[in-house]
Order: sequence, then C-alpha cells, then structure tokens
Amino acid sequence: MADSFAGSLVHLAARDTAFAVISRAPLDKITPFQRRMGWTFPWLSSFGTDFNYDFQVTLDDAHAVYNYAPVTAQPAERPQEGEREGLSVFFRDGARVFHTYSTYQRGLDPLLTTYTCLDLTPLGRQEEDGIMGWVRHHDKY
Amino acid sequence: MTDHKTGTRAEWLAARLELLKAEKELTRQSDELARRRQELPWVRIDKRYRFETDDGKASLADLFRGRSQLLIYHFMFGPEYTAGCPACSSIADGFDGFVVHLANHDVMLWAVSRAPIEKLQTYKRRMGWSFPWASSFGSDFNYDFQAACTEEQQKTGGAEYNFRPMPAMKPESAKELRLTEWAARSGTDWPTYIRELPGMSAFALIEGVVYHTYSAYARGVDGLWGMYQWLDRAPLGRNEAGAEGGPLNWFRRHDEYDTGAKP
Repeated sequence: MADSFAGSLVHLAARDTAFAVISRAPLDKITPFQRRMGWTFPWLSSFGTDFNYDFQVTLDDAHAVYNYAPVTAQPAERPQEGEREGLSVFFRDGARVFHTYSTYQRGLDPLLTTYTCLDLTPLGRQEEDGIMGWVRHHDKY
Repeated sequence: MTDHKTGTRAEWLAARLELLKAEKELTRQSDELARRRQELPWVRIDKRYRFETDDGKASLADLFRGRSQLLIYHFMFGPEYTAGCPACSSIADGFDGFVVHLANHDVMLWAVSRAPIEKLQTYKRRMGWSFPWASSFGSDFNYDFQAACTEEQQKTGGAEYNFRPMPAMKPESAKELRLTEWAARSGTDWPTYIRELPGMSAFALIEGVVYHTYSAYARGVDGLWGMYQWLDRAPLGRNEAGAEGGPLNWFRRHDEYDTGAKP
C-alpha cells in the first residue's frame, strides 16, 4: 500500500490535505524500517495512546469491531485481534478537529493501485493461493 | 467556522453504514467488471512494432521481459515536447512505486511515449523515476492504440479516441481549457500538445504470440491516478473547482511545487 501512495502525497499537499501514516509500534521500530524502505512520508507512533483502538484498527477482547461489524462476523481466515489496516480522514476548522470518514479492508481497494492495475490485466489478480500471499517488501523479491 | 453539517457519533455511524452499503456494491461491481475484462476476446498482434529502450531496440514481445502480461501506460510526451505531460507525470508518481510488485506477479508495466529515448531518459532522471519507459518514435504504435493522432487527422477530425471519432478541437474550446498554458508547461503549442493522448493498453504473450486484450482512455484511467483516489476520500473531495487555474490545472510536476507543499 505505501509503495502505491508514497509518490502521490506531494500532490495532496498542494490541495490543502495533510497525510500521515500511524502505527502502534514505537518510533524506534518504525524509523529503521521506514529508512530501509526508502519512504519519506510522515510516519508517527501512537504507542500508548487510544488512537488505534478508537479508530478500530487495533483489535482485542475489549475492541472487537472492525469494518463496522463484530470481528466474529469477519471471514474466518482474517485476524480477529492485533493490528488491522484502515484509513481515517479528518477536517480541521481552526482549533476544532472533526472525524469525517473511515474505511477498512476492501474499502481500501481503490487506493491499492497495484491491484487496480491487476484488475486491468487479461489474467486478473491471480491469487488462487491466497489474497496478497505473493506480495513481498519491495526489497525482498 | 465550518458551515458543513456536523453530528454526533451515532448520527455519523448511521449515515456511514448507509454509505458502506453503496461502497460494497461498488466493490462487487468492480470485481464483476474485472471479470468481464478478462472475458474480452484477445486480438492477435502481427505488426512488428519497434521500440527504443534503455537496453536498445525491442519488439512488443521483448517488453514482456519473461512475463505473460504487459501493461502499457500511454504517457503523453511527443517528440516536440521538452518535458512530459504534468498529468501523466502525476500518474507516473503513483506507479513508479509499485511496478516492482507487478513485475513479480507476472505483469510488466511500461510507459511508452513518442519522444526519442534520450528525451525520455533525461526527463526520467529529473523526476527520479525507475519504471521502464520505451520510445515508440517513428513507429505506428501510438497511432494504432489511439494514443496519438496526426496533424492531418487533427484538421479533419479523422482520428479515434476512447473508441469513437475524435472531433477537431476548436480554438475557443482550447482557450476555455487553457490548453496554451498546459502546452507551455511541456514547451510546446496546444495543437502539438494534444496530438498525444493519454490511456493504457494491456497485452498477453502466449507461446510467442502477442495479443491485445484491453485499452482504456480518458476517465478510464482514473483508477490509476493515485492522488485523485486519495482526494476522493478527503472531506472536500477533489476540491479543484476554485483552484487557481481551474480543474486539473492546480497540480504541478512533483519538483515544481513551492517548498511549502510537502506532505
């Protein structure tokens, strides 16, 4: 996903839109990985805060809703606890911040332009062996 | 103070769940469209197109580099241009990061333009891109796949684009679309500029034979335009109606923004 958006963010900035990646890992884990991948977008740690839980991307017994449904309603092979993927959008009006939108799971498909391209090919996604099972870090192929 | 409607979390969630239904429907439709794309009949390509690449001359089959599928982005960069089209450049900012994943999943993605390879190489270096980019200079490739038209076709309206006859551009329309400004950003005049056309084409290689499977043009390539996919999810959307220069005219090449415009 980050390989899909890393190059486009400069254009969002020109349209009054900030962008950040947020993960629960401490920053000293994030920074070496970010350097290894050669990414320069802002990447913050929410370690020790409620942020990920409140926006339904870190799941545990007390936070068991993902993609607007109980995790027990998810397909069995999907993780029901730990970290999940998602996008949240906010609007700032002076000092006030509003949450406007969040999307998860296949709601992120249009942002995963690797897959947009695969959907244009004659053979499609070719994932009979499992969704995204073929994907590696870009320096690990 | 925003004059947009605000609400409680419960009100938001009720509206969001309604929208989620529509989004899921769109995802299913998108899957169905992908399936129908794969059902299109393939057209055997017998014409011997020649391209110039970083590694020398190449045929269409050579561009597959051992994969069975090939995607070509028809990047607007005519022989007369001094720099690539800014819109195509912002699309390329997206695919530059993920061509490596496609290349490891049986798909080569190339950009192809009519400018000579030396011009493409110079511009690619300036932009810091690494995706493969071939020149179709002197070949019929761009014309055959509706990614370019001749000066003659431009005058008589005899070219096809997006699978229908392309009307001749009237000077007053060109003015309204601010094509002179657009063209100047690529160092050319507007009639020359719009002889190149954006799009993408897909090919398959089976037992040494190349087949054309799919092409898309105009808003058919919206899905590949990463920055718009993200803006479509922002509270103000594409937010370009009031942008200086109008829709499509606000963005610049990634090295042309003021230093303030950083993510």
